[in-house]
Amino acid sequence: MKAGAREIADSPLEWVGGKGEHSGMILSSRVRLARNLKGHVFPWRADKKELSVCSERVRSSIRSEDSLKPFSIFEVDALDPLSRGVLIEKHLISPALAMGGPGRGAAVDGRGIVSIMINEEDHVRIQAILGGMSIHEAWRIARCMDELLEKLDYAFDSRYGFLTACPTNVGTGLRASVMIHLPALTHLRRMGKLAVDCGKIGLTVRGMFGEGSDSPGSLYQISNQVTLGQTEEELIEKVSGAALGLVRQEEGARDRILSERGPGLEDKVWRAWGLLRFSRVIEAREALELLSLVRMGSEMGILPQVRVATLNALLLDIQKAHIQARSATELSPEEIGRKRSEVLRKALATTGGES
Amino acid sequence: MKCERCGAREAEVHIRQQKGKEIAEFHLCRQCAEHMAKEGLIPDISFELPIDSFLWGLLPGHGPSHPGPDMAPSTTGDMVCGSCGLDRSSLRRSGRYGCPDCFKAFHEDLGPLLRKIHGSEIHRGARPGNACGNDTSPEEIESLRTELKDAVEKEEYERAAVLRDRIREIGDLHEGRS
Ligand SMILES: [Zn+2]
Ligand SMILES: [Zn+2]
Repeated sequence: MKAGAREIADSPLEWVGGKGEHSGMILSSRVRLARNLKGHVFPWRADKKELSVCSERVRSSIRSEDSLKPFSIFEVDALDPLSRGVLIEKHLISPALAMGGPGRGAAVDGRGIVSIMINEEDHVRIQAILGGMSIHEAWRIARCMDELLEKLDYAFDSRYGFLTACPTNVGTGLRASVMIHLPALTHLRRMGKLAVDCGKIGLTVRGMFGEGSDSPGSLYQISNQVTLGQTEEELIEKVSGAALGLVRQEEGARDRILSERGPGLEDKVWRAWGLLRFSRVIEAREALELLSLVRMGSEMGILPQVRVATLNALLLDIQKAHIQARSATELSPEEIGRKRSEVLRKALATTGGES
Repeated sequence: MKCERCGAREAEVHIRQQKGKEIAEFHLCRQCAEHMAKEGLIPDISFELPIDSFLWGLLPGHGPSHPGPDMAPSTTGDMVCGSCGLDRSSLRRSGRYGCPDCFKAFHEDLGPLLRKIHGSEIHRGARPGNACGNDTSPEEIESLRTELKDAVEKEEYERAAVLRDRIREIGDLHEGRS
C-alpha cells in the first residue's frame, strides 16, 4: 500500500454498506484468528532479524498464493503517522501494530473485509469484518484465509491447540466480536447489569469508544472471553446468541421509553437531528452521542429514514485522522471541529430531509 | 499487578513501546491509560484493550494477593525455556510466552493457568491440515479448490466460504469411508 492517507481513508470497508441482518443495531461482525509460526520466538521476544525473517515468510506466503493477489501488503514503518491513524480508525490494524518497528506490517484486501496483521502480538492475525449479524460468515471467511496460509506451518499443539504469545488466546486463537448500538438500554442504565450477565456466560462487553459500560454513542463490543475448550462454532454461536438477545432487549427498551416519555424522546431526537444538520463546530464525543440519537430516531420512525450506510460511514468520517487525511492543510483542533460539522451537514442534508 | 501510575487499580493495559534501542513498558489501569493517551504519552488505545497479565496473579501461590505455601520465589525462579531463554519471573511479569516451546518448558504452570482463564485445558477446535481433504484425491475436490482460489482472487469471499464448506464436507465423507 503505497497510497497516501487520503486514499486509505477513501478505500472501501464492506461492513459500512450495512448489509447483513439487523444492520440497524448490529453494525459489524468480526472474527479474528491468532496464529504463530513453528520454530520462531513470538514477536515481543524477537530481535530485528527474527522479526524480518517471520515477516518475509508470511509475506511471501501471501504473495505466492495467487488467490490473494488483490491484497496490498505494506510495512508499517513505510506509512506516515496519519495513514496509520486512518488504518486504526478503520480497524484494519491495531494501535499496537501501528507503533511500527522491524517486520511489522499488514495485508489488506480490496473490499475491506480481510486484514492480516504481521508481527503484532502474534506472528499472524487474520481478521474478517462484515456488516450486520454476519458472524458465521465472517468466521468462514477468516478460516478460508487461515487455510490458505496454513502451509506456513503454524505452532500447534494437539492438546492446547494453536499456541499464542498470550495464554488468553491459546486454543482456537479466535475472538468473535459484534459491534452493537444499544441507546435505549444505555438510557435505562441497564448496560452495567447486562455486561455482568454476559460475563457470567463467558462474554465480554466493552464500550467501543471510551471505557466501561457507559460508552459515548452507546456502541458496544460483545466478544468471547475464552478461546480454549470450545469449538469455533460454539464460541461463535454464543456471541451470536447474546447479540441477538441484546437486539430484542433493546427493542423492548425502545418501546418502553417511547411509551413512558414519548414527547420528551421525540424532542431529544429532533434536537439531535437539528444540531447535526446545522451546527458549525462539533466535538467527536458530542457527534457520536447525537448520531446515536439520530440512528435510533430513524429506526423508530421518529425521524425521516437515514440510510444505515450513511450513518455507518459517518462513524468513520467524523474521526480525527479521517478528517485530517481529507484535508490539504494541517488542521488545528478547532478546524477539525469545524470540518467535522461540515462532514455531518453534507452527509445528512441529502438524506431524508423534511418529514 | 497494580497500575504503575496510580498504584491503586489493577493494571489492565500493557504497552511495550520501542524507541531506538530502548524498550519502554507501561502497565496501566484503563483510566490512567486513557489519561496518558490523551496527553499523547502513549498511543491512543481505545480499541482492543488486552486483558491479560493480571491473570498470572490469580494462580495459586504465584500472586502477591494469594500467598500460598509454595511461594518461595528462589525455588521457582530459575526455570527457563531452553529455546528462547525466557525465565519464569519474566513470564509472570509480562504475562506472555516467548516462543512455542515455552508451553513445554512451563507446562507445570500451564494447566492451572489455562483452567483459570478458559475453564479448560483441552483444545476442541480446528486443527491445521484437516482442511481441504489432504489426500482425498478426486478431481472434484481439485476443481472445487481451483474455484475457491478463483473466488478469493475475485474477492468473492461469500462464494469462497461456501466452496470451502463443500470441500470440507467431501473431505469428511472420504475420511468416514476409509
Ligand atoms: Zn491507574
Ligand atoms: Zn520459549
